[in-house]
Amino acid sequence: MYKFLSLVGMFLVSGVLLAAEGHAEAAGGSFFGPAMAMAVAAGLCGLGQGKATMAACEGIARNPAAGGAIRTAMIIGLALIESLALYVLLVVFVKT
Amino acid sequence: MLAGILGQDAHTLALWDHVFAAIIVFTILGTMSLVLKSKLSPIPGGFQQLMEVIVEGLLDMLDDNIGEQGKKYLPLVGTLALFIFVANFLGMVPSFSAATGNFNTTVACALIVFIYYNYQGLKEHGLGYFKHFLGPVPALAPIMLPIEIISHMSRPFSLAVRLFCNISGEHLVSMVFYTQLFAWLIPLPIMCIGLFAAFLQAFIFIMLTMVYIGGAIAHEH
Repeated sequence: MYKFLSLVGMFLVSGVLLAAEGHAEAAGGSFFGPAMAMAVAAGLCGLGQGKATMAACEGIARNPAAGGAIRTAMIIGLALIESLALYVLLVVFVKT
Repeated sequence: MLAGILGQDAHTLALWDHVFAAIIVFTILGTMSLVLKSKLSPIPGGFQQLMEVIVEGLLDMLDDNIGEQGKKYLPLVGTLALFIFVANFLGMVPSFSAATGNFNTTVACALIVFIYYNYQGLKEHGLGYFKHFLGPVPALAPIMLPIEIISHMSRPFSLAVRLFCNISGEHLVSMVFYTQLFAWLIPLPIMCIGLFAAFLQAFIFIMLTMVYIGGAIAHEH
């Protein structure tokens, strides 16, 4: 767990350093910040939606008669989690 | 030619893309409704059956989410549902642009929902509507008030951003694939997801509208 987190931390720090280099070269500013933010947001959104879908599948497997209601709740939950990643996409739109 | 008629150059006219798309959408919906209304019969034809399924589905959802008084919100919810659904789908047709693919249209829809549910809450409860913002226990009111205000302010913002980003994001990714990566069949799965998202986002929008209206007019027992 800690090894994984330290690995992710190394990538993020190196990303920041690369962004600093790119910023010194290009006068217009680098695109690396919003791109990295979007990547992190998409990844975490994937994890969240995976947990929601997993819970929905288990619920339907245990109680197939409630499948309709569970499916509706899952769809709403997925859309709400998706919208969190879309807020980051809005930042990307505004940036460029 | 149209630019010449309206007295603007082509670049300015392209900025009004979403206005023309919205005009096309409500022209389609309006003529459909008028034609259907003149042909209503107790033995429904195909199109009337489709509309009845849609209206019954909306009434069921209103009943689930708002309760007994759900029926009187059908005009707004139905209009929003049909407009957003047809606008999203029309954007998927090759040479049309989506009316909801522009931030202005979605902010307009979200502001209508925001003003409407607050108005309904005020109409139902009078000035006691503002007691909703104070939370369950009066002692917690100083903490609850800013939290509730922020969460209410974020509702139209999230509605607008969700709808706008879903619809225009699909167009953007397709454009990137067409112009920069030049893969002819790769946009196809993205457009399939776009079709699904077109229906889903309309559904989510009106579901959240119903939840907000239900929350505003709810009577705690």
